[in-house]
Amino acid sequence: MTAQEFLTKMKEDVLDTEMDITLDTSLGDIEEWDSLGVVTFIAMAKAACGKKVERAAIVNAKTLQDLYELLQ
Amino acid sequence: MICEEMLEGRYVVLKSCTIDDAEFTLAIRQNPKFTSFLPKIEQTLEQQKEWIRQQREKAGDYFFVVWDKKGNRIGTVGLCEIAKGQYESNRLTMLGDSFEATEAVLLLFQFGFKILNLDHIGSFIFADNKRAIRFNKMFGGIISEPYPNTNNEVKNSYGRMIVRCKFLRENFPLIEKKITISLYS
Repeated sequence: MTAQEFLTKMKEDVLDTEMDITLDTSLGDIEEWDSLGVVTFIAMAKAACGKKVERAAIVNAKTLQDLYELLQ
Repeated sequence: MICEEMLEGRYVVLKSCTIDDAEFTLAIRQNPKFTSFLPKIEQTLEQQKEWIRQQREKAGDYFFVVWDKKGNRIGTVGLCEIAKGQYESNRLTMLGDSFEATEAVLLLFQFGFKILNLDHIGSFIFADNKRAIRFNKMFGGIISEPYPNTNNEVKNSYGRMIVRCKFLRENFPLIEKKITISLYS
């Protein structure tokens, strides 16, 4: 998945946000990065990339870049 | 009312509130993170202890303290019978991470739908609490249009805009499956 594809999926599918986001965007600045966002991201990681994302990795992630790297 | 058994998940444990939890349960309701979106409670520690004593005796009123696996209290969650056969989820306050918060509510709903055999569970949310509305939608909550709290459905918040949320037992298995896949993948 390219970075742009990831950002589009995050914006439209995972977060459902109007906010402009980049890989540098801090997760703490995204209102929709909440429990629903986390659960949806985990489901997206599995469906789109076949990746199993661990809780520790999610909890430690600070930016969208950190989440993107979990899918590589 | 006391649930004798602990409700245990992978990340959290729900235990019926005791007098020993009075300080924590009072403090968390006065935490600025929650005071905007929960009805205010203004009482002393002794009053909170007395409230807990009465709550433990009250039929149909389940109040849990959420503990993490390190032995820390990290939140509260409740299920109350507000009218015969009608239960409401409430008192949700969580300091933990998303996994802990999600699992705490999952355990509560499993208790309500599978142990108490409820057909539906309701709740009220302040209309401007977007995070809580999103959280409840994740559990299949059916959200009403916003309306003013003029019937005091939410205490100490007369006139404030609220939404009613309803969870149906028939929808729960699918929701439970979806959430457990994400929580425990």
